[in-house]
Parts: sequence; structure tokens; C-alpha cells
Amino acid sequence: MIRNYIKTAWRNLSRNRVYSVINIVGLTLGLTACLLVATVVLDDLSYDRQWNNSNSIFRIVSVDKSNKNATERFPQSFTGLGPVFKKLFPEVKEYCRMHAGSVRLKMGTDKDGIELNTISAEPSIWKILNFDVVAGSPRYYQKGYTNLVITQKIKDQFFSGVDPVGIVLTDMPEFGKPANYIITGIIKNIPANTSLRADVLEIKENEPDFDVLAKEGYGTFAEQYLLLDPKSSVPEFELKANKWLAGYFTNHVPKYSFSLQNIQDIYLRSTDLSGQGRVSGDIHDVYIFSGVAILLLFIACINFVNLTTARALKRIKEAGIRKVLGAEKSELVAQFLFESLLFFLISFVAGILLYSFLLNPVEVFLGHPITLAIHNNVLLLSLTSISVLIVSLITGIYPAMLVSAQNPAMTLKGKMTSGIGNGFIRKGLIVSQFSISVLILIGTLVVQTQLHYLNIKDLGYDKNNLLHLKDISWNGKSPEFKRQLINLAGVESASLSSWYPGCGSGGFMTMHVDNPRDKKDKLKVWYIAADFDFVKTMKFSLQKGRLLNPSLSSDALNDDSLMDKGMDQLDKAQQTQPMLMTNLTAKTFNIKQLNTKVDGIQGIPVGIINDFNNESLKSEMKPVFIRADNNLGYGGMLVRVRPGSKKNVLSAVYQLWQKQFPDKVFQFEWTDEVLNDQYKAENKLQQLFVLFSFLIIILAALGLFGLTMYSVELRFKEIGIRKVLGASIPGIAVTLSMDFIKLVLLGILIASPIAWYCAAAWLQNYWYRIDIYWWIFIVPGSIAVAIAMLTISFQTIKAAIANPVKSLRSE
Amino acid sequence: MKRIGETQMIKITDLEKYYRTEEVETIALNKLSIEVKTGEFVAIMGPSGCGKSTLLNILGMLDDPDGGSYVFNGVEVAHFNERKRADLRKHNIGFVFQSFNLIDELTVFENVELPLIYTGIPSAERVKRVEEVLDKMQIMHRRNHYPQQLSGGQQQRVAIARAVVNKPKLILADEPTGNLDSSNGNEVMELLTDLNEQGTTIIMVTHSEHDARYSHRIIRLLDGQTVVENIMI
Repeated sequence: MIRNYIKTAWRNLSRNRVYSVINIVGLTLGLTACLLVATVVLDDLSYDRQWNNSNSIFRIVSVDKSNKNATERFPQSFTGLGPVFKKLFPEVKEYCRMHAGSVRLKMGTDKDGIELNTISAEPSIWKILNFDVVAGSPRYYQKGYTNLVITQKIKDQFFSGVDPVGIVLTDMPEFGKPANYIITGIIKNIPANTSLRADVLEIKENEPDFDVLAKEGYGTFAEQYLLLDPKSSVPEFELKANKWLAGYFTNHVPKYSFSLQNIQDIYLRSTDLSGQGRVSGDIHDVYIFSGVAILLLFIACINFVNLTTARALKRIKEAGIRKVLGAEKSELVAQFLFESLLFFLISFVAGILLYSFLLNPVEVFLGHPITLAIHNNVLLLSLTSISVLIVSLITGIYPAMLVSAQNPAMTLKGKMTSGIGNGFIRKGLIVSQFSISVLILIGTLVVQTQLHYLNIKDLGYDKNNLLHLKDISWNGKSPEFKRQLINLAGVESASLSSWYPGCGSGGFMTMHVDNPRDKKDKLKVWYIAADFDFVKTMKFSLQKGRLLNPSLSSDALNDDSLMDKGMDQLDKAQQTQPMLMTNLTAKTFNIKQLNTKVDGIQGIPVGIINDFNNESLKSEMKPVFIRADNNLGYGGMLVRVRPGSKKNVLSAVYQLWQKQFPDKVFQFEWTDEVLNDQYKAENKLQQLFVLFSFLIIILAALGLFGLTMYSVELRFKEIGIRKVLGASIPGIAVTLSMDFIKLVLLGILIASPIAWYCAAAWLQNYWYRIDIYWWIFIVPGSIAVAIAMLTISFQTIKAAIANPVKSLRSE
Repeated sequence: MKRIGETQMIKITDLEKYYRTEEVETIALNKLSIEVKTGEFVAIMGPSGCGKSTLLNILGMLDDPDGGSYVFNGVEVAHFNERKRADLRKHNIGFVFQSFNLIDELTVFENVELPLIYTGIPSAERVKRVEEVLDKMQIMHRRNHYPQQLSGGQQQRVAIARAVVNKPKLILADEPTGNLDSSNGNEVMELLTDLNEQGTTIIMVTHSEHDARYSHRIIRLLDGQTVVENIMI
């Protein structure tokens, strides 16, 4: 019996090539996309599950609720929390201050050394995370050095043929003096699926004052992890420890509370944290892409059901004959299911092949390797095969039941007796298919339009032709460097600044100031310290008052020299230091009078400049003050370049740099590129949306093409009669097309409100966002209709120009 | 002399069948009563729409009657469910159609083999029986051809081979020569006669007086009722 099924299925498949190709191509595309997305999603979900204690490892997240309308959460916390918690609470078994960082070491042949991604931690890391040691005794901490534990990959890359354990390397820091690193061991490669993705461990003991938790409520912040007793209740511990913390601070009004974030949640669930490290994903992307992939597969399955059902009209006679010859209904169902299975099997094999070719480009697109690949993992491959089998059975059951349920007496005459007459299900499937296509198209357009808006929005300064030399410690050489820099051809101005566009924060310091409209509330205020050319270099415009003036000695402070005299001296000087502020700042604090002290604000505003976006456009613009510091020890240099001379200026600046700072690495970026990079995730989202919408439209069009083909075939006689009765070719083509176009229009109608809801929800991520205009719905709708018409017209025109004698005779 | 058994194979009494649409009800069979004995060769004739094919479908258990009784081999089958009907059908009845109704995707051999597969005959036995019957129908040399590669006469011989391969007690033939020229038509009628002489009961619907003369008895229908029965001498 099975042999007979295979034979019939194969012969049917090979004889009806157009039908088979449409089905196989559709299913292959759907399955491949689904497999790729499933791989990425599984990989995303597997982050940090490889650690033995992953269920019990938590990162301390600080929560700042001082601004009522904007609770802020960030992954750094008081460095003293870990040690104090370990001492006070039995739930805490261990703590470790660590983060995903990087270090530039003098190694290899490049004079700028090699930058390595690190897990920068204290020695207790060994008690929290597990690594497989290959050589050396890295668990033993060698004092006097930063201990470096390299992975097998780094060993093979840089120390091939030598034993690296014991080798001492020097780093190339952006600021401060170079430090020595000793290689204490080799570990197996750290899997890429960790939020602490790294090539080396950088282990260093912390200074004793790191362990102190100041009662005054200030201190150093760092990322730190706790290892909790697996039996302890996390919510109870959070409650207990927060209560203790509130009582610990002297003012009894803690600015920060904390919450615990399990290490497994860090990668995907940290988008709401400011200052998340270099390795991060987004659970929303997981949802979006899972959804899109399922929709893709759904569309491919709809095509299959639609085409198979339409084709059933041609197969019912065969089913009738088989029934006459003794086939039972169940045997017919099994036969037709078997045929579905064959289609899925071929598509699955093709899909897996395509998948194995595409996995590498996907890794390049993601920017990191994927740990779990379906074709290399027996368990995953088995699970996927079972899932495909289930999908194929679910997909195949409707056409199979439909064909086998017919009365053989009628089917032998080629007539259907049930189910397919009005084609309700088929029509419903076409509607849902085009709804999905339009939904994805609208999504693509919304992401595209928002990205365009982010690119063209006036930020309050000119982002073009603005070079940024990355932060270094200038060692007192900045005035001379700047003097020579501004004399270079093509350089308009330059400014040494503690802030630069796209740096991830809005300034070098924030203060929480009483909200003048609600004294119980606090507002976040940014401070930027820069030299006197900052306003000119950024191309800000003065709206009121005066700019900071280098000839007025009171306008600039030298923070470093004041700090040497004591913090109180610096604080005192800053209280009266002249500052600039933005329009929004003046409005927020209701400052009408310049040169006057404002309650709660450090410094005296002397001038108002235009508003500018000092943070990403995802965030609301906040009050910002700019003050002058003529001798910043550490910071970056912003260089305003004359349009058209970027290349020449860069080369000249590089040469100057080599002369002035031969030991420092020359690191630069163009501001417009950095700002675009801020929306890297959105760019990727947009690229994927374009790809998905392309795939989905192709699938929908393929399905519609096949369906029209069958529909026209079934209406062949009707077309002949219409022609005999005098119908014109365009008239017939329109009659045949309208049935489908109506369904496509209904699909658009259903998709539009859903798309509007999803788009509005997604745009909520941006403080600065586009309005959803009517054309965002009209354009994708028109594209869908145009594609549908193009697909249908090929068949309908062919049918309409056929000789009616032929169709009437065929009866 | 044609042999007719004494036992009754089919007895239908007051059989009714209606076709309904939303607005019209058409009576296909109107309280029709017929008996057929084992080994008989019966021809059913009548104008288009008189209910011949409907009767054949009900006799072949491809369709349900709306009223009346149908006794097959002593068992009332009028209200059998589909499963029981399929079972009875595959073990007892062979069909021959005007348009042959061969499956295009299967070869001659595979088409003839199909009823044996559905009755669960083992593979080796199937090959033997199919070859036997193809040989008998003189179509063995075409065993690996597809239906479209055969002439109409050859296709009908394959269809008859398929109808008899399961050694059915009853063959129902619906205008078996309708699509054939006279020479091929005669050949088919000879084959059916041979089968009948070997003991198979045959009920044949036909428009052809010539073909009907091969039968023992002609039942003439009009508007779903028997109008006359002719016994052939």
C-alpha cells in the first residue's frame, strides 16, 4: 500500500510541474526562513544558561525613582553592596564585581596592539562562573599584576607553538599609565552565547575602599553579581535587603533601591537599563521575528492548502475510482496525507540545505557566531523534523478530508458534493495571506520612515563634517595639540569636551534637581564640561545673554587643580561658575533672569543657546548646562571640518597625532556615522523587514498565481460561453480578476488596523517619532493590489484570449 | 445456453432516490422494484435521465437510496454505513464504466492491481492474479504502459481486467461500449459474455439495443420506474 502511495504521489508531483514547483518553492522558502529565525531565537534564548549556577547568579540593578515620571534602572550599583550583603544576609553565598569590557594589549605585529574583549572581574569570578581550564593555574591569583586568562582561541592565534603561561604583557590605556598583565592560564573558548562574551579573563583585586558602603549614599558604581543560595527566595531577599538599605543611609531617604536580575535574563531583558554593556539583545526582536517567521510559514502552508484544495477538484475523480475499487475513506486520507508529507519532505531537505548555506551570512549579519545550529545538532534536527511532520499533517488534513469525503457516484462525473463549492475556507485563506503581507509591508514602511526621520531630524547642531577624536588622557598636551590642529587646512574649529554626540549619555555628569512644578519630584539635569570653542564647533546659536568668554577668568575652572585643594573648594567654585543653558532648560526651571543664582542648580546661567538632542532620539530632551573647563585632563576632541575636506583633514590629523602622541592609539569617528550606529538595531530590523516582506509577497503571489491557474481551468467552459455570448477579452479578464481582487482588498482592510496598533506600539520606543500618515497604509495596500493584479492577469488574459470552441468542445 | 442460478442475488423493493436543490426536487427512482438472480446478465435501458445510472450507483453501493429496500445476497444493505458498503463492494462487485475511469498516474499493471491492494492480497499473489487476468484480456504486452498510451478498446479491456481481478460475484457495467467503435465494442461484449458464462452476474446499463441483446433480460426504465421487462430468448 505504501509503495502505491509513494508511486502515485511521486508521479502526481512530477506530472504537475507548475503546481509542484510553486508548492515546493513556497514551502522551502517558508521553512528555511523559519529554521533560520528559530536558530537565532534559540540562540538568543540560550544566553548564559551554560553556567552551572546560572539559576542562582544575579546582577544587582540600581533603581532610581527620584524622577516620578521616569524611573531609571541601570546595571551598576554601589561597589560596597556585594561585600555588605554577603556579611549580613545568609542568602548571599558569593559576590563578584565584573563586567564585559575590553583591553588593548601590546601584542601581535600592529604597533597599536590588539584590542581584546574581556570579562573584567575580581578573583571571586571562579566561585561564580565555571570555566574549563586547559593549562596553568589561573584560579591562583598572582599579586602585583592584572591576571590574564586567555582562551584557546587567543592562544592559537597569538601564541602558537609557545607556552604563554607566565608571559607578561603591557596594556595601552586610553588614560593613566600602562599596566602589566601576566598570563596565568588558558581556558577553553567561552561560548558566544553569554552577555559576558569575551576572549580573555582580566582578573584584578579591587582596592579595599571598593568594599565600603558609604552611609552618606554616594560611592563608586560597578556591575556586580551575587551568587545566591539556590533555596532562597529572590523576591523576599530583595525586599529584606532593600529595607535594610533604606535604613542604612543616614538621610533615610535612599535615592537608589535595587533589584536582582538573573544572569539568564541579562542578554534579552536589559533594554530598559541605561548603560547596558556591549553584548545585548532585545526580547522584543525575538517576539517580532518569531512572529514574522511563523507568519511566513503560515503563508507557505496556506499556499499549500489552497493549491492542494483547488487541485482536489481534479483529484476527486481519482479518489472516486479508488473508492469504487474498494478504498476506504481512511485509506484515501492516508494517501493524500502522504502526498502532503512528500512535498514537505522535499521542501524540508531543500530548506536544510539552504539553511546550511545561509547560516554563515546570518552570523555575519548578527555580528557573532551562533552556538546552536539545527543541521549539526541531532536533538534539534529530530525536534525540527517532528515539528515539520506535525505541520505537514495539519496542513495536509483539510485537502485530504475534502477529497476523501466525496460521494463516489458524483465524483466519477467530476462533481464535488461537499465542502469546496463556495470555497469559503480558500477565500478565507487568501484574505489572511494578503492581510499578513500587507501587515508586514506596513511594518517595513513604518520602520523605514522612522529611520529616515531619525536621520534627517534637526538635532540642534550640525552632525555632518564633525570629527571626534576618542577620549584619552591628554597629559597636559591638549592646548598645544589643539593649537596645531586648528591651523591645519580644512579645520574650522576644535573643542576639547567631556561629551560628544552618540557617546551614550547626555553629558559628563547628571544631577537630580527639585522639579519647580512639584517639589517632591526630581528632574535629571545634564552637565557638559568643554573648552570655550564648544559652542562654535557644535554650531550652536546664542539666543540670549552671552557666550562663555576665555578672557574672563571666572568663566573657566580648572577642576583638576581645584580638586587637589579639596572637593569642597571645587564644589564652592562650581556653585558660582558661569554656565550656558538651553532654551528648554530655561523653560523647565522657569529662569527668566540670567546672571542670577537658581535654587538647586550648581552654577550661574549667563547665556541661552538653542536646544539640541544630546542623547539618542529615543529619549526625551532633558535640561542641560554647559560650563567651561580650559584644562580638561581627560576627554575627546571635536573637530569641525570644512565640507569636502574630510579625507585630507583626517590624514593631516593622523600625522599630527603620531607626532604628538606616538604612544597613544589614534581612534576617531565621524559623528554622522556614530549617530547612525545608535540605530544599528533599527537598521537591522529594517533590513530584516525588507527581506521578510519580499519573501512574504513572493509567497503570496506564488500562491495566488497557482490558485488563479486552477480557478481559470475550472471556469474554462464558463469563459467560452461568455465569449460566445459576446463578452470582450478585457471584460472577461476583469470578471475573473475581480473575485481575487475583492479578497485582496478585504485583506488590506483587516490588516490596516492591526498594523496601525503594532506600529503605534513600536513607535512608543521613541520620544521623537513619526506620525502614522494615511499613505503608510495606502502604499502597501496598492503594492499588494498591483502584485495581485499582475499575478492574476497573466492567467486571466491567457484564458480570455483562448478559442471558445475549444473550451466548449472539451465538455 | 446461458446458465442462470436459482438463488436471488439482488432484490430491490420500492426503491426511491431524489435529487434536491434549494428550489427543485427531481425524482430519479420512483418506488422501483427489481430482482436479479445469481448468474444473470441483465441490461437496463431507457432514455437519458430515466434513472439508469442512479440505479446502477445504488446497486453498486456508491450511493444511498432515499427509501425502499435493497437486499444483496440475502442481506439488507440500504442503510449500511460507508465503511460496510466499501467492504461489501470491494469483495463482491466489479465496475466497468463508459469512460474507463483508469487512473492516469498508474500503469496498466498498477491499475489492475489496485483492487487487490485494497482487499489486502499479498504482493506475490497480486502479481500472479494480475498477470493471469491481463493474459486473459490479451493486454499483457501493455502491462507497463500508462492509460493514455492505449487505444479506447485496450483501455476498456484494462478496465474489465481491473473489474474482474478480485473475482467479484457481480459486475456493474455503465455503457461499457459507449466510447468505443463497433469492433472494439463487440470485443468488450464478448468478454462480458464470457465472464457471465463463467458465473459472474452482470448488470449493464446501455443505450444500445445491439449490446442489450447479449443479456438474458432487458429492464426498460422511464421516469424512475420499470416500464417493461423483455426476456431474451
